Amino acid sequence: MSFLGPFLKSLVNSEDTHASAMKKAGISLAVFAFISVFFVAITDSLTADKIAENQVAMLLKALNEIAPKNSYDNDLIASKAIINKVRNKADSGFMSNTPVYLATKANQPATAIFEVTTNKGYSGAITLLVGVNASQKTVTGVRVVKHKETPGLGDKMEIPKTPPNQTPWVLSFNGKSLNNPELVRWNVKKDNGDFDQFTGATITPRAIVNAVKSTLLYAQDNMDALFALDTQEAAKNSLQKKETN
Amino acid sequence: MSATSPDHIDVDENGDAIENKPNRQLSFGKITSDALWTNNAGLVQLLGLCPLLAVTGNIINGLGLGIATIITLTCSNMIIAFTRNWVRKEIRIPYYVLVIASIVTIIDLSMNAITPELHSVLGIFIPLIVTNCLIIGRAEAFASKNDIPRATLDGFMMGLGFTLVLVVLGAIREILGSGTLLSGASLMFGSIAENWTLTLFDNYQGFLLAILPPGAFLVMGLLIAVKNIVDKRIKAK
Repeated sequence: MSFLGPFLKSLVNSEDTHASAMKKAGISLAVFAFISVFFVAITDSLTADKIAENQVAMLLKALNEIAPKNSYDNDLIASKAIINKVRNKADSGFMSNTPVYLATKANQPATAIFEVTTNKGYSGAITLLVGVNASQKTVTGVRVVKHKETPGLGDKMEIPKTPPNQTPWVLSFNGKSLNNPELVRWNVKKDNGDFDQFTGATITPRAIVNAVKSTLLYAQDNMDALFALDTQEAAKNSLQKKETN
Repeated sequence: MSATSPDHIDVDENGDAIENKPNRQLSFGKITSDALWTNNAGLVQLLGLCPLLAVTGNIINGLGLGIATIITLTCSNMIIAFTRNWVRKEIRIPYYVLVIASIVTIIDLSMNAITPELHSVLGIFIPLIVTNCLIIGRAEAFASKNDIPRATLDGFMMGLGFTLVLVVLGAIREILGSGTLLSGASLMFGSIAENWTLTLFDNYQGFLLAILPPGAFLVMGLLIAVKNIVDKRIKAK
């Protein structure tokens, strides 16, 4: 800064001709832009690794709420697959490229956690994690991870924002499957279903119930294929590792 | 920006140049009282209304935006006061934008790396700060004309005054809208705050208008009216 100060000060001169004032202003602004970019770039390079690490840790924490640590023994973050084609895309509210995390224990399928995004929310997309038990096809847990619903109304689906003395709404999905309740009852009460809506908000719960239902429908047909793919990949990866070794 | 032209520089008793010395140095007390009451950012200057009205659905959100504003405003005022003699007046506005955008980005990245939990709560407010004209307003009106300690204090106090308005607005809207106080406190203060949420009315059905943006305008109008009444009372005494 010691040499920059006098240099920048030399550019501050209110009695320049028009052309030289423009030139000096341009140089001065360029210097400031360079300094700002320099500091932002340094901060970025210092924090990038830590931020990536934090994001993985947060994702893992969210996944562990649905599939507890003792229920699987593989690297959950690494066993991520992307589902591109979803049956009945139009009514499911699914967006394309749904990530799914496959938890296995002793190489046996345990839980598949779908990161489902539905665009049927009240204001924009809602992203939720839906855990489905691999053998029984029951819901092991639902957590909302990203949304833009009305504060104070729609956001009651977040567990920390549930009013005190009430059971968090998303826990009502635990243990449910396509037979319990039967398929036609997979709706909010307003649509003659079995699931509560909350006061002042119907669209948000409806979007979530439908997204969970679609996930279960998808899981019913594709669960085995998903895990088969995963074990194939794992076998391929370990093969590649051997080759590189 | 009172750029001193180089051919008549003021000289102090040691013969050193006095640069940009304002005619009247404001006292620290006056800066504080101006920022918190007389010239309050939220109630008098009406700056930063967009984030102010958007997020004050409850106390915790108001507090979150307030803290993010205090940090940004203090840093930006400090840096702009530090560089005030090096900036041509023609480029001061783009310069302020550059400084504020860089500070916001740096704060966002650092918080994300150092305190990920706090960032997951405040993170949504930090981009909102860029749209807050309070910050550029203080840069232009105060920091570019005053020394570093005064500019820093002004930034902090203006941010604090803004935060107080956000918290009061958030509290009124939360009580009217959802019948609770401090809901979601555990998001910001961790697990010790889990029991802080007060439910004021049992089975309160909620008053949607208070939570939606029109309610923010109505409550804000009432707050300004209350401030004007208080000011009138003080004047009459």
